[in-house]
Amino acid sequence: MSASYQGVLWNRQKRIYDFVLWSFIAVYIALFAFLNYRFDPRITPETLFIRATGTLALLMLHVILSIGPLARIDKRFLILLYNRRHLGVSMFLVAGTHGVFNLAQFHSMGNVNPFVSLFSSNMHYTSFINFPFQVLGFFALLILFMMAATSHDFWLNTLTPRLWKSLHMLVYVAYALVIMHVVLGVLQLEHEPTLFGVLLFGLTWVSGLHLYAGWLEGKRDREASHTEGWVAVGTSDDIEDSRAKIVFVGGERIAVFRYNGKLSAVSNVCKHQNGPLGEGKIVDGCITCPWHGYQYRPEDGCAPPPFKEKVSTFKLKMVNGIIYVSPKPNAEGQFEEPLVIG
Amino acid sequence: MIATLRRRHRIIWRVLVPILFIGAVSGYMLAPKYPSDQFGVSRISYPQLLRSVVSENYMFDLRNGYGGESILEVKQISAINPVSELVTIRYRKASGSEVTQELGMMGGRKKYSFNLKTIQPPFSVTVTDTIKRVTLANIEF
Repeated sequence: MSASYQGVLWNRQKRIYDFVLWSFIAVYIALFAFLNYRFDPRITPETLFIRATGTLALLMLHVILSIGPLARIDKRFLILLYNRRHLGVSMFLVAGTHGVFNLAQFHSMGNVNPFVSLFSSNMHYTSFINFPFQVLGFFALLILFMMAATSHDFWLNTLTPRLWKSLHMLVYVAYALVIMHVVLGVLQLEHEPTLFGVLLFGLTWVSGLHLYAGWLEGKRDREASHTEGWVAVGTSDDIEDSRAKIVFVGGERIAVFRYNGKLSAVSNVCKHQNGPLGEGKIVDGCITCPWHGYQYRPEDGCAPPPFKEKVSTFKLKMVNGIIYVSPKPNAEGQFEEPLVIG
Repeated sequence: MIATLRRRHRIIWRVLVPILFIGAVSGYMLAPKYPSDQFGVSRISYPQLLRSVVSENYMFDLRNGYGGESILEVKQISAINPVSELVTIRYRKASGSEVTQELGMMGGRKKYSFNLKTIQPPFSVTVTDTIKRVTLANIEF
């Protein structure tokens, strides 16, 4: 999104993350195989691999969908957001393997094209319970592929953050398709209460988190929507050094940062992926987004050269020790004299 | 996140949650309960073969069990590779009424045995792929 692009911006942290992630994937598949062979030796290796990758992808999808709301509910989970894209692409690879093996197992041995077979072998499209569940999985995989393919910052910049984010919100549609793929697929063949219980727990967990996080954010937005004119932030003592306090003004959020005995206010929305700048901190004199480390100068909201991102700044004033912020944003990247703490 | 996206998130989840819960619970409640008690890979064959019928994809052997019961052995013989097959029998009772009974499930290229107890020919046997929902064999004994 900035001066130049690289395939993946590898660093030590990312390498460790990927090593741990893929070790987990390998251990999960090995453990799944061991337990299945132990309790059901009749199972074929193909079926075993399909089940292992299917359950693993489902588990990973639940983890991925939990990270966003968890980070909104409690700042301590913000660290998990940093490498969420690696987790997402890895999950797509696991789900893709599940899809390819399914296609080979169920649709490649006939005399029609496997994709034609996928869509035409079960034609009960008007039935609920007999609906061709593999088609649901196919479309979920298609969405996940689209997301994995556009996960790079090049696409984020090309598509614009707003469109990119909207596109990536299709993950919720993919999640719904996956849930119904499982319900109308394996749960029809194996009427296992445990299996259903685990699925229901996952569904309750993910939807509960999203509903709760949405309710919290909605509450903050409603409380802030009545504010007019200058908005009181509090005293300078309310803000930790190199950190910010977020205020809600007219549905949007402003981050007021304290650093080196001064105060500056910028939009809380990072230009990269709309991350919450106010939950980040000042590193090397720059506001650093907690999601992916994008940086902005607090005085003018500009990213340091050679980067080109800019966010809006806001005027600040202090009356009787209380800091007030103007709800009217300056132009993006416009210098605003920091308020010196007296 | 900007306000529009926050709002969109809230709307999506308020719509998704009831749909998914209703879909999941009704899907589970309405799921057919296939017989599982007769599911079993047979490693031995009963010695007395009464009749054998071969279809395009399966070989069906009707044998006598040691207690005089009828045993139906089914073996997949073609290159098709379904992993979930339901075996159903249709026969006529002494009273004349026609009965369709699910015998059990098969799961691949192995030999499966189903205890028919006192059921004797004539009857028909159907094998259905429960994933693709297609009939793989329909034979008459």
